[in-house]
Amino acid sequence: MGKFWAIFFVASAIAMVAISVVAPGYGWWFPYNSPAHTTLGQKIDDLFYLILMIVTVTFVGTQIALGYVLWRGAAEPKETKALFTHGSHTLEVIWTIVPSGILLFIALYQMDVWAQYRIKTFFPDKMEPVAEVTARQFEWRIRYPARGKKLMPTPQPDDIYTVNDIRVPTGHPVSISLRSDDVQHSFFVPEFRVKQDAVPGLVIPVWWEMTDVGTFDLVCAELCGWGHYKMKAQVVAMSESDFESWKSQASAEQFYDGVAKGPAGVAQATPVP
Amino acid sequence: MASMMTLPQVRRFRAGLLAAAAVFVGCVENPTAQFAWRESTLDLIPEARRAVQKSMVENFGTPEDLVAWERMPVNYGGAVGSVVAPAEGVTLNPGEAAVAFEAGKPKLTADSTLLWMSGQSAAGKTATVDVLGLSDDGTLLELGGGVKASEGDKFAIDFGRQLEVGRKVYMKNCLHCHGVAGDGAGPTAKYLNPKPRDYRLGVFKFTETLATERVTRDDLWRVVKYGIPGTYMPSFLLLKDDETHAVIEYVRWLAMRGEMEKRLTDELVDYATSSIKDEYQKSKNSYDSAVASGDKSAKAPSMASLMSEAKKELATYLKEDFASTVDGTADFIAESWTRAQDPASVITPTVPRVADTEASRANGRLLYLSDKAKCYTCHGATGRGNGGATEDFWPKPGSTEKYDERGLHDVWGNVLPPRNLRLGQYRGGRRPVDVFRRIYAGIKGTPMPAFGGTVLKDEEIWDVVNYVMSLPYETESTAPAPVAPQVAVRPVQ
Amino acid sequence: MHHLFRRMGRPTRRQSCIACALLVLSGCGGGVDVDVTVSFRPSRPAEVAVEAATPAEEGASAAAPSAVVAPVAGGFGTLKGKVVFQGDFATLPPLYEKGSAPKDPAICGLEAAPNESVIVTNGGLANVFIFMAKVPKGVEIPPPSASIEFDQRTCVFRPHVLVVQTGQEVKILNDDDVAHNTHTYPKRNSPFNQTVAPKDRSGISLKYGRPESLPFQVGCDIHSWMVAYHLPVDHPWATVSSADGTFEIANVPSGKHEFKVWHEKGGELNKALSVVITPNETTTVEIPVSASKLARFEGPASKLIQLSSTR
Repeated sequence: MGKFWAIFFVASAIAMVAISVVAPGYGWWFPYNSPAHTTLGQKIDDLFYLILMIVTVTFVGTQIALGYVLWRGAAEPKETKALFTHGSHTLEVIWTIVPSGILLFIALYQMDVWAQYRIKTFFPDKMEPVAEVTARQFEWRIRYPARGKKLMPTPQPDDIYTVNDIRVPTGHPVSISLRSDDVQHSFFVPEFRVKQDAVPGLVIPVWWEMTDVGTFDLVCAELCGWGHYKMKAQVVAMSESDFESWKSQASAEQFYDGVAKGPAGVAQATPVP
Repeated sequence: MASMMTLPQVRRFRAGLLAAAAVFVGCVENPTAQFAWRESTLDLIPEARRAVQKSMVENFGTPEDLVAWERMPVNYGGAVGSVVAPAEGVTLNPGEAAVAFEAGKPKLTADSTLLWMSGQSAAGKTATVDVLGLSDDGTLLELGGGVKASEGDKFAIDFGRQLEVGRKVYMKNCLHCHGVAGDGAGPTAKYLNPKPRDYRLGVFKFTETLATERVTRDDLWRVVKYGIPGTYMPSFLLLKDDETHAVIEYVRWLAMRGEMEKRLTDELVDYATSSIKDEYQKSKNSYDSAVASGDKSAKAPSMASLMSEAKKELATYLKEDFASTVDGTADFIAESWTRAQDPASVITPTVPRVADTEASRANGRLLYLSDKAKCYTCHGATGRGNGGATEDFWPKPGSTEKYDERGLHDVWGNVLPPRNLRLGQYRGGRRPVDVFRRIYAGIKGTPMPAFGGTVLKDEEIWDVVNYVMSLPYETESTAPAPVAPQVAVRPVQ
Repeated sequence: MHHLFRRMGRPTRRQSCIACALLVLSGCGGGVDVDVTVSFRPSRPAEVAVEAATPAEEGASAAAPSAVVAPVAGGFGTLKGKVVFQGDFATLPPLYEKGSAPKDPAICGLEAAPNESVIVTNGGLANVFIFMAKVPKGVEIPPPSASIEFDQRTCVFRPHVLVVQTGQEVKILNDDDVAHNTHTYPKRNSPFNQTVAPKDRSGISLKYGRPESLPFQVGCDIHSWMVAYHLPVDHPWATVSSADGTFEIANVPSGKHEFKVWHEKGGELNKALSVVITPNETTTVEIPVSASKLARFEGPASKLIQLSSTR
């Protein structure tokens, strides 16, 4: 019976490692089973893999040791008297220092990524905020500067507004100014590996650099009220030129006077059921 | 362990535990959804109330069993078509019918059904028949069971699908605030300011239509997709288009349903308990003063006799007039909602937006402050929504009293502060055409009147639009020197 | 969910698990996933269809007459009468005195604004609506006369009470140098809320499509004291009492009719005043209204608040 547990623990360790290996193929891995779509996100993924490796080595080693001890114990005749020890000072020191060393290593190793993500002086150079994103119960309202203009801290007459629909260009780092109108919300785009609380009274810059175009889900990751689940939005990454022409189109739609024939599709493109 | 499992009392215990957990979570208590009745319906004397409720259930059903009343201009969903003469050289097999669809060939599913909307097969029943197949060109329909239809008979395949989807979307996303019946009294409503819209008056504030017309599907589309800034109506941009269409139809249907109930209770107001009590009170006042003045011949009023009189009257009314009242009311509602979709009901400015220049804004400002438009009485001389009207006590329509609180009110009875025009928040949309329409036709259900066509020419409305839309960006340095609003030129005699 | 539990007297282990899972997954999403049926109801069910075929169904038929009041013997008579106020009455003070209007004093203050809610002259109560409740069957309804005017002068609606026939044009005028907005609160018709330009003497046209069962309020959202009452009816046998409480309705078809009597403070004073009209004769009625019947008669109006004209 004793050997069963030895085999069991070793086998379950093997199974877990195997599951981790096949997981990406089944979509059990990163959100949407895809690598990050931002440059910094990929660095975060790398950190994740590094920790995963450390953890795997530790886990496998521990499981082998555990299996070995269990097996040895089970192999002893039942009558063998158990040996009691009062601990080993050397061992205690080792298993305190080694994990501390590992943690210290991780802490130092990730500092670059952390600083780039959080600290303004480490932000990429020449980065313009593309939009002001205001979270409110229960939607995301977005304000963009007009084509060819810079985002100002206060609304401007030619600003472009959208709701629940963030458009960003690819090819260079972009940032948004994150605000909250009421309570605390959290700006979470899983595929970007970006999660930032929106705090009432603060304007928080959040940046990223897209690696490709696409449409990504944005959700609120801070329980903000009974309608929290309604705060679904999308982030659409477009090529620089598409982004600019989208701006022109959005601006034409927003300044529609009911008479002018703007660009194709501008005039109330509401389909009839 | 395994043997214990088989004991019935243990299973019962566990089921009980589960039920207790469920109660704790609030699931077992979950009541079936119901359309709450209006207070004015519940105020009717029982006979009148039953008549209204019966008519409502007959024509609109319950939340679990919706009735799609053909008379209401709602797109209930499904492919509508009619039976036609078979094409030349085509012989119909038993169970087949030659048909033509109004809007292209529908997509069939394994459990598609057909419903006869007119003709012999429709008479007296609303049962459906299975659809077995449809020819590739969409002209031959194969049905389970025999076909007794004649040419011109109308039918629908998968009738009501849209209403069903709409209900589902509504129950998931809207009910919390707007309530099952669209009465704006969902569980969260009491925490919100402004209050969620009560659809049951058939009135929606932000429309593209003329002052006397209702809301269009396009208006509701914009509200659902983009939300209403400054209120708790969020954007549902990511709803799929077919879900949005469906929920709009459901909301329109709820609005028509609510309007029907409101209008019927208005017709029956003489048979409301409160009206009868009011009448009794008035008679009693007369009697008391007669007695006080020593009139011995005065007859004391009796509530019972008033009640029985009302019941007698009601019996005649129900027999003779009620059916035609329901009919006429339904006609009026259907006509009004149909007319809203008519392109002629939509306001299109006759001139393009006047260039947003200093001169135009200055002119808009003069109009804003003029006695001609009098915008400032509500919105304030500086546009902060603090005009004098917000400090008055206003008469309550339908009564001789005034509202208890200062300030303007909407038809739902809520205090309605005039919009602060300096916030840059545009509830009905920030496109210039939206603001134009607000001024042209006013805002329905509110004191904001229509200016278009009479007081202000379209060019002048554009000037006001330009001025109003410049207010959020006006700073101390750019603001024009203050002037008193143009006051009357006629001196006091 | 609750159906599930109701049936679950003795759940097996699997059922319990499923129930647990459902509990968690559903998040108690009551109502959302309930099976719904949509049944079709034709526009005009068989029994209604027959009725609809009769000509009684003209357009706005909410109050379409179907009951017979009395056979019309031919010929027309006149109804004359007086609404008699019983009790003591002191003329109500004006809403504001000349020159002290709370808003737009230069215009509204040209005259004092009379309190028209209760006016009694020589014992007669003014501004009482007297109108036939049901049109007798088979009587040809004369078309409405030309348009009537509804004016606004010195920030007072003139007239204070107005009877109008459906389809008849009401011309909303403005004699002031300041804009007014005429805001109606009807029960059966669509509401109307339109600004009237200063000195607009050509007027804005307003037509009522459906008759109302009782008069309704008309207000102005610029001047809070401005109040009037409109009553659209689908026949010409309706009027309002004049300043001294007298009224006259001419050309009433002979027979027995029921009239409604309504006053803004007293509400429905008489639901069915029975009157018999004989051809070519004048029937006289006296409608007594005791002061206490005007239950909502509050005495002098509360003072209006004086505001600077710039707000």
